[in-house]
Amino acid sequence: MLVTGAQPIEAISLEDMGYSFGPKVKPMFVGLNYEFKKGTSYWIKGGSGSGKSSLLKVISVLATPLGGDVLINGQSTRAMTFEEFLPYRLQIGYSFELGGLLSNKSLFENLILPLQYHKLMPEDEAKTWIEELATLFELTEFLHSRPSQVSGSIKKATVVARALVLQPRVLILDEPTIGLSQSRKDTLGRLIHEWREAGKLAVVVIASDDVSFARKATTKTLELKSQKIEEIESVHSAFIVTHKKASS
Amino acid sequence: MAKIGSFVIAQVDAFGLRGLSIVSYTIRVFSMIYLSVRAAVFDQAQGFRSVISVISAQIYFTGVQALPLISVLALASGSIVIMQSNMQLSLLGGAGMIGNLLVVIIVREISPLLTALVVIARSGTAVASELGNMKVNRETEALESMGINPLSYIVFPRLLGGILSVLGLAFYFILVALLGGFLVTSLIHDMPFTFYSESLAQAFAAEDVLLFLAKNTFSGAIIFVVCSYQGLLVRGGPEEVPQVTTKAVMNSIIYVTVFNLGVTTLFYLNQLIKLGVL
Repeated sequence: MLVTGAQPIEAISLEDMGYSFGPKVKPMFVGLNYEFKKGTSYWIKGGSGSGKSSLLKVISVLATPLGGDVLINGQSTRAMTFEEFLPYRLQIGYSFELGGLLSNKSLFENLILPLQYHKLMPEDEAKTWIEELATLFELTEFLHSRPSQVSGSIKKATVVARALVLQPRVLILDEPTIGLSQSRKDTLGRLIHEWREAGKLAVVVIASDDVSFARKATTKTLELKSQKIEEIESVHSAFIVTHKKASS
Repeated sequence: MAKIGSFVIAQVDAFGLRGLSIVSYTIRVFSMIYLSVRAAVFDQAQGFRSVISVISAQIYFTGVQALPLISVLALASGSIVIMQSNMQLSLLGGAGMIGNLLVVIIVREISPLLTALVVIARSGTAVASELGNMKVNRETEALESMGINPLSYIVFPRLLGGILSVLGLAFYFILVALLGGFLVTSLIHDMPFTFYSESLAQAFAAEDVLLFLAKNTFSGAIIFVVCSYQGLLVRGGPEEVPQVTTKAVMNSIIYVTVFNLGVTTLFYLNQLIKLGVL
C-alpha cells in the first residue's frame, strides 16, 4: 500500500548480488545481476535447492545479500534502516512457502494486523476489506480460529491472502499454490491478473512448480540454473521446453 | 622445553580467544537493549495499546503467576534468616541489630538473587522457547514482511514487562520475607512486633532503595534480553529450540549472579571508603 509521501516501486534490481546461508557455507549466488521491471510478472522455476526461496527473500529485502546490492527504483537498500525501508516494505506483499502465521493470533487477526498496526485504513473499512478477502479465499468460517486449529490448506490460503491485504505494488509469492484448492488458485490468478491490468501491481514474482498456475499468472519465465538467472522467451514456450525435456 | 613453551602459548591463545568471544557475545546481547528501545522509539506505527497489551500479558505471566512460588521462597528464607540471626544475635547480646542484618541479607542480597532465579526458571525459559519457535515458524520474518519490527513488537514489550515484573516480585519477596518470617518466628520465639519493626525502620536507608532499583531493574533487563537474544538465534529447525533455551538459562544465571556480585562489591567498597577504611 502506498503511504503518503512514498515513492511507488517501479523496479527491483540485483546488482552483483551474492548470497549464502552462512560464512562457511557454499554461496548460493555469486555476482547475480537482474532487473525485475514494472508491468512484468515473473515465474521463477528451478530444481529443489536451486535457490528460488532465497532469491525471493533477497529481492523482497527480507534477507541481506552477502555481497552486492538490491536496488529499488535505482536506490540502494543495503544501508537502509528498518524505518527508512518501511515506505517500500508496505508496497511489497510476501507469501511464505511454509509457516508465517502468528500462532497466538486468529486468522482474522493475522490478516488485519498490518492494516491495524500501520493504521492504513479506518477500523470498519479494514474489517470489511478482510471479510471480502476471506470470502474470496473461502476463509470466512475459519476466520476466528487460530492457525493450529485449521488445516494446512487453510493456513496456506491465509498466508497468500495476507500478502494481498495491503494491495501491494510488488507481489512476491513462494510456492503459493501448494495445498490450495483449484477455486482458491483461480481466485489468486484472477486477482493478480485484474490488479496488474488495473496498474495496481507493478511487479509480480512467483516461485512455483505448479506449471498451469504459473502460465496463467505470469508473463515471463526465469530459470535458476547453476547460480544464474536465465530468461526463457515466454511461459508457454518454457512449458513446451520443459515438457520436451521430460519426454526425451 | 620448547614443547612446554608452545603448549603454554596455545593455552594462553585459547584462553584469550574464549575471553574475546565472551566479550563479543556480551556486547551483542546488551546492544539488543539499545536496539529494541531505539526501535520502539522510532516505530511511529506501534500503537500504545498494542505495547500495553503485550506488557500486561508479560506482567501477568512473569509477575502474577510467579507469586505462589515467590511466596513460599520468601516465607522460608525470611523465617530461616530471622530465626538464625535472632538466636546468634541474642547470644552475642546484639538483638537490636536484627533489622540491620535483615536489610543486608534479605533486602540487598537474597531478594534480588532469588527473584531473578525464579524469573529465569519460569519466564526466561518461556521467552527463549517462544521466540525460538517463532523463528522456526517464520513468524518473525512474517512480522518484518508486514513492516513490523520484531525488536519493537516482540522484544521491547517483553523487556519492559519483564523489568516491571522483577521489580514487583522483588518488592513482594521483601514484604513476605520480613512480615511472614516474623510471624513464623513468633510462633516459636516470642519477639515484640514494635521492637522488630523499629529495628527494621532504623536499618533502612535511602541507598537501599537505590540498590533495590539498580539490582532488580538490571537483573530484569539481563534476563529478558539474554533470553530474547538466545531465542532469536534459532536459524534451523525445532531441534534448536531446547538448545537455545538451555543456553538462555545458563547465560542469564551467570550474568545475573556476576552482576549482583559486582554491585554488592561496589557497594561494599563505597561503605569502606565512607568509614575511612580505604
